[in-house]
Amino acid sequence: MFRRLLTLALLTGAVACNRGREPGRDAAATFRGVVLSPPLEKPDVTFTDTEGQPYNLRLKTAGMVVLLFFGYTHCPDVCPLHAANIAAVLRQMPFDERAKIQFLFVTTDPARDTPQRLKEWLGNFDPSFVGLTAPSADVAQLEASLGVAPSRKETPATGDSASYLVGHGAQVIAFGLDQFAHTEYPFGVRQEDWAWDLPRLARGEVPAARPPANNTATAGTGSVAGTTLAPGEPAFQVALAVMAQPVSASEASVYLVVRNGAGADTLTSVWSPEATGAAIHHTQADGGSMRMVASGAVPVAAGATLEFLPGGTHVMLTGLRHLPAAGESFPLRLRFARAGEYIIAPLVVPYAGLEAHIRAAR
Amino acid sequence: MQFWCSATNTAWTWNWTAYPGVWAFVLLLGFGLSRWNRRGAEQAGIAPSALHPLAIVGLLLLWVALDWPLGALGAGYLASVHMLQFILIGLLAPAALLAGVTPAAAQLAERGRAAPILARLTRPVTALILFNAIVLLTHLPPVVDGLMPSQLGSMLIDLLWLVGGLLFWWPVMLASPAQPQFVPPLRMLYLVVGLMFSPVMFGLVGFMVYAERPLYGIYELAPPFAAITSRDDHQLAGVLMSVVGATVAFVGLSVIFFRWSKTDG
Repeated sequence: MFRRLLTLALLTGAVACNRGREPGRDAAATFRGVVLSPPLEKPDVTFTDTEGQPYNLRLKTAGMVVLLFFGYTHCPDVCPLHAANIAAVLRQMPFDERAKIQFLFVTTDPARDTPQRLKEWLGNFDPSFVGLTAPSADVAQLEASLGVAPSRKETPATGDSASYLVGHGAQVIAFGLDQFAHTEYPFGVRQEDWAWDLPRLARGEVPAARPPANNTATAGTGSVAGTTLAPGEPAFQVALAVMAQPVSASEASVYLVVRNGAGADTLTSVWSPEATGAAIHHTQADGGSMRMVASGAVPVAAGATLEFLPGGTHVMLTGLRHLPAAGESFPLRLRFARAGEYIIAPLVVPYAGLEAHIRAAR
Repeated sequence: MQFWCSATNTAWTWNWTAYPGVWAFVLLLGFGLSRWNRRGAEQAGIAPSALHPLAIVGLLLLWVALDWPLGALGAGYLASVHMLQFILIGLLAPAALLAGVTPAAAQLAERGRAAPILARLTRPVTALILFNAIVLLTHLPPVVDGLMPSQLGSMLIDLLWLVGGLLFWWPVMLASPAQPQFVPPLRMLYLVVGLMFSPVMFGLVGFMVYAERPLYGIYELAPPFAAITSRDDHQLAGVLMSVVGATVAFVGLSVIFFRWSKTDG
């Protein structure tokens, strides 16, 4: 028995330790970032770089992949993590591919992020990273045009007025060589995901086009025509991914409409870095009342549509890191037994607007 | 209030945090060990002695590893501190705790109702396999990433380490009449295979030191601590496991060898 246990443990270990290392892991998903539909055009704006020179986004980065991020140097978590992870992956890429990728950091805290500080802070990660400043109104306009949550200064918990935090969008928007952003990368994206997508972006690859969904933040998949897929095409298309705006951070429900364009598969697990727990639940009648019960894996027949809707099966998130506001989105990973992992970004919508989203998706 | 350290995904601060579950656990363990020794003495008809200083060291090592700040840093910020916790909880503390078990108490364990199970679990080969299986299981990325965000999950990993370490050290520290063939040279070989040249530890060290990208998402995506990069942190964790594992084995080998040569002499 112990021999069997050891064999199982070693096999599990070998599989787990190789997780994500093999390019074939997500052969069905061409990109691991969240696909934007429709793609966003690179904005024609001019900001100021850390040398005090005007920096026109389109002109200065023509022919390059731009990773655009809004953040601030005093950020305790998201900003240094994105910068460090992107820098770590760039260091491992061949020079010719790496030279085509430009990370742009637009500060959302111009009061503290002086050009000198921006340059030093970014230089700690990678000297090629460029810091940009602009009047707050211009930054806000750019954020709005790209669908990024508006940055806002938060009141410090302590009396120290200099130690405030700044709320800001957590996604990195990737503009490809064609000057359009086809993908974005929410917080929770790992180095192995960057290492998968960045070389593809540098080669000018874009995710396959797909019909626009009702939701601006949907999954990283391409179009699915009928049930026959060409090799390498993604299996699933997410027509709906929304979270009913929760009243407390203790729990929230996510509803999905996912179309399976390939063979039979099984949704085995869900996970979000923005919550301490994530599980698939369904609502069950229990005497005169309804209660929620954890579901196991959910099978999806070939060509079928997986519908997680109010009153039925849904994704239950518990222990949210923060209480999300309407309009925000956050990363959610769906793991399918055959198709692998999909990163999606459900949009937080007011409960009253939920029905309209669902109707549009079905 | 948190009762046990877990990954909280909030920026690290040096503000002290209380983990009452850790205090209760260490106190209960100390109380249990003391009571076990006392009952052993009663059964043997000898005067009970105070808790052995090494057992107190074992309890202190556990407390340091589980409580703030090591516990909190290891649970959600640094893989290297998580590894340091493993060394303290899974390697050093069990050896020290078992050193504090009196011979009379050890004999008590061989007579109780659970004695047959305990005897089976603490057979050298079985203990070696179980220890390595626990080490492997509790260091798999999906297990670490899945359990560390919850207090119960984090506690489960810590307890598994302690149980694994106790099983591993039991045949070496508590000589059983049922295992007369487990002579000192075999004990030394046991430590070499279990710690110094353990294939499981070698494998884990290899993945942590040489992998291109961080193994554990929980530490890769944790709010940064100091200026250490995630990769350096993972490499440090691997080096710690390798160097300290070998050092612990070397110290154990030396103790067994000198005691053996003294007995033979």
